[in-house]
Amino acid sequence: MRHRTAILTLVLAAILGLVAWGGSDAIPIKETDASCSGLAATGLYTAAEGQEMMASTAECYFVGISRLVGGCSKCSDLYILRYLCYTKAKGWYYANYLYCVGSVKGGLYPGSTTGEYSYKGGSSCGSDADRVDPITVVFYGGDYTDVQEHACDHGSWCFNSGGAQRFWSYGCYDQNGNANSANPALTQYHMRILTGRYWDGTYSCDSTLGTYNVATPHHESWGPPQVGCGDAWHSVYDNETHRPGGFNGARDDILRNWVLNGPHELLEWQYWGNVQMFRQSAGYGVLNGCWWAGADGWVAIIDLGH
Amino acid sequence: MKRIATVVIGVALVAALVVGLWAAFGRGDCETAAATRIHWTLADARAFDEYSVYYLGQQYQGLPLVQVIRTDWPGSFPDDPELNRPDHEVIFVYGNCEIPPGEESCPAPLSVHVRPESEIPYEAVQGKAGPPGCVRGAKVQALKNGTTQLWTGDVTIAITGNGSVNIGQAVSDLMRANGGKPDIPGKPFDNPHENCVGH
Repeated sequence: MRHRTAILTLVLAAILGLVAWGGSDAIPIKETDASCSGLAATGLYTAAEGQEMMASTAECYFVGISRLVGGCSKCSDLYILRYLCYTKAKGWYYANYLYCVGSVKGGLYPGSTTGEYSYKGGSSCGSDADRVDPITVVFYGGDYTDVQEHACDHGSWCFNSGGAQRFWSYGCYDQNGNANSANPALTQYHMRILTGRYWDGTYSCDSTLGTYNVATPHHESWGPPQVGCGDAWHSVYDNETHRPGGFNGARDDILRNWVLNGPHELLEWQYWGNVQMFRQSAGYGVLNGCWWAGADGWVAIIDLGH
Repeated sequence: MKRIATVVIGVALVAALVVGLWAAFGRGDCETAAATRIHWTLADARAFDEYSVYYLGQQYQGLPLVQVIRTDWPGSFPDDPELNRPDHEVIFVYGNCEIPPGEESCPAPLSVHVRPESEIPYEAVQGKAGPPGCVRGAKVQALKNGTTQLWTGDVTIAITGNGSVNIGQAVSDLMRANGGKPDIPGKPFDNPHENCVGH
């Protein structure tokens, strides 16, 4: 029991620490802004007001914290801290006050803040020769765990395996995760996912649509490599004999499962021109060459919410 | 016991033969097995008459033309125009690359992608490296990812690569593959973009 109390105290201290950190750029909020919360039955104050009230009292007890994801804006969560305070003059009263944690920062700018391909694991994302897969889908309004959840729900891409690759998003990062349609990962649909980052490594957040995720869906075949082509047993389906090719086909599989037969919305098509062709380890036979696969340059912008 | 060992060795040999044949002769499936030819040749591109086709010759800056690809894809959702993305490209791949050990692919040194103008409206292009220009009568847009996109007459052309080739020079060296002008590098396109007539 004593251990449990100690752990609870530590957790509360950690939460308070987080909020205090976020409070350094806390945004004052009018009480009416928090009406959606329904939690402010005893009055709400800005962070500065709340701290002033607490400082003037002899006794204040922390009684709770509530977080409303996206309660301040697409990029900012609403936290409500509740204290029970006592002074001789006022008696017992609640000091409830608000913080907004997070802010609009960064955004998806293809080719500049956001790279248009994944890059080799261990690379610096700086060389075109290190390109691996084209980005053909951007998922808006959540993080990579939301993408994985929906990929499983709508497309049965329910597994999470894949070698490390890197993405450029204000910096060079390993992917956050994968979504695969097969386990073991033989012939399968697969995508690596990065939740867009900002300079400081936190999630980038677009002013109108919120956080976003870039992904490299591809449909790949598993089998022995062709002599003279490479040594990998995975090869993305080529564009000519497996139309529309493994990159375009996997993107279209997402559109089919998430949008056409699912509840998600295709917000927009954008042409990024990321049409780099990639040689594969599979081939048409030793006399006919190796597979080549590439995307058509079109990127589907899909809303994660529904 | 000896008989079992013989059977095991026999099975192993057959399996090795199957895998070896697969590795040598490629991953066929019903679609490819039924086809009489596997992929396009330069002769097919030269005989093509659906739209103008441009390329960089049988080799370019020492890079051989290693593959000609015809995609001819009506789109995965022909009944849903909002979702559908038709892809009717003729692609010329120049130069080879070696897939490093442990990697699954490698980027081609250079490729030229020719498709109907209607498949890439200029307004949808993102990641522009600057304002559009005119080269040899074509409207030209450089992208930040290194691709250059051209619009001339009935087609739009993307040129891209792995950074080893000067894409700007390649724009100047494009030639018509299926008749018409330019039949040599540097000459104006015979069907200029409406915004680039005389430029």
